[in-house]
Amino acid sequence: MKAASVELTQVRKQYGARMVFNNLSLKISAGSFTSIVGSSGGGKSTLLRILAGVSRPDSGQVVRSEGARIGFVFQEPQLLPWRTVLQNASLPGELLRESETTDRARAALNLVGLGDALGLYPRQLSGGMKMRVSLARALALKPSLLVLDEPFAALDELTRFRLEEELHAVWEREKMTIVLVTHSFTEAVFLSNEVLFLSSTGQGLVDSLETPLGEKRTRALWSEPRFSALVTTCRDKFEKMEASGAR
Amino acid sequence: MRAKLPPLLLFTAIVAAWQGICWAGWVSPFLMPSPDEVLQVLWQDHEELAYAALLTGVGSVGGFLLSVISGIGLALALSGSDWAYRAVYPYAVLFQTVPIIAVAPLLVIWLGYGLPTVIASAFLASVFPVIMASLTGIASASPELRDLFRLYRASRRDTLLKLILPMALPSLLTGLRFAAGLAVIGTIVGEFVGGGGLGNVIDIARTLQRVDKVFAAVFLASLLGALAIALIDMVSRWSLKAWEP
Repeated sequence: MKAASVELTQVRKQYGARMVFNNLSLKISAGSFTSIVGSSGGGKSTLLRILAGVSRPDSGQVVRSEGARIGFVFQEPQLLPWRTVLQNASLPGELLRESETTDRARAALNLVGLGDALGLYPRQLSGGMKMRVSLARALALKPSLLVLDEPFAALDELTRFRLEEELHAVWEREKMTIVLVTHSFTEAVFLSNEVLFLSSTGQGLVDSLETPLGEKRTRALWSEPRFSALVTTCRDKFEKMEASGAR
Repeated sequence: MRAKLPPLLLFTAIVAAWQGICWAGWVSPFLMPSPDEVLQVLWQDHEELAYAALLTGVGSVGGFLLSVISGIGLALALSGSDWAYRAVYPYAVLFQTVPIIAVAPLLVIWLGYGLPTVIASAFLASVFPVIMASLTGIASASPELRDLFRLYRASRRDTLLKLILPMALPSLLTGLRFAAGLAVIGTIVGEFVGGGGLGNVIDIARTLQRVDKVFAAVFLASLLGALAIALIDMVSRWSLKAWEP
């Protein structure tokens, strides 16, 4: 599946009297890995939902590549407790009434290292394994656009490191477009090509940071000065955005 | 077995104490029969009591099924429309406060003597917990999962059968457990006024001052309620196996 691009033009979204963002424009290029950082309650999840098409903006335009297939990974794994690992990963294809759903779910589960856990139920899995199933469920459709809403926030550090590396390896191999919402600057810098800064005061995307660290990324990158420098720049840009929002 | 021992021991102790009090003559047999007298009535009138229990069982099952179908149906309809939910919910709560014993005579006027009144009474007594449990259960599917189903263009039928109803099951079964017991109570009340079943046996035995027979019928009615709850528990254990921690 070819990677998809998405373009938002002058998008406005409001909940009651609260303006989430006004006049937000954004272009996500095909095959890119973009991270979005911002304060809690700043509209990051709303932006992801609009990008994925599960929520409509009040005004403005959203244009996705034709036939874009979208995978969505939430902060919590959101598995169905009465379904096995394989049945959970097969769900999207089953709902879309596609063929070879089970085979593709099995392949996606192999990709995230759960090939031996197909018959287990969510209650029998650790937090990290549940998140892997959630990722496999999104990957089973061979998405051209994968959106992830703080998927590793609730995991312990070691599991998070592993899953970040796996996610990057999946992106390298499958070359889909990925948009990730995260609170972690190191995660944003480590995974993406570009970090976008979403203001919590309705001003939309106020800054960006390119992360030219090469395609292949492993944990060894963490000890390199250029990585630390980018993380510091990312934090500085975030603090600057927060300070200007507070004024 | 170890879990069942404490209630069994308590039951045996209560029955033994009750028998002892009756043998000692501390309570008049016209007010309180001894357990062995109740057993005698159960044995002597077993045909009449078994038939009455069967009628009560039929009334309870009928009322319970009606509650399940209409309770879940109403909850699904209400959950689909915020306006309808807000319009109907206060009346659903108010409906619970109407004492079934006060409504039962009206049911006889409207539906006549016999099974329809009994089933209607069982239905009125048991429908509220089904509605409430269904509403709670339906709301338990997270917004994220609803988004996921929307993202993959799930049909209304798929959303209902593959998300909403299975997700509602734990809450729904808790409601059905309450409803099963209440359906038996509603049936007995209905039988007081509509005739037939254990309710009628209790009513007639009461007018004849046959306290032993009243106790026997009450015992059977309780047994029916316990059986209904045990059945629901069995279904719960089986259907919620995957949920177990």
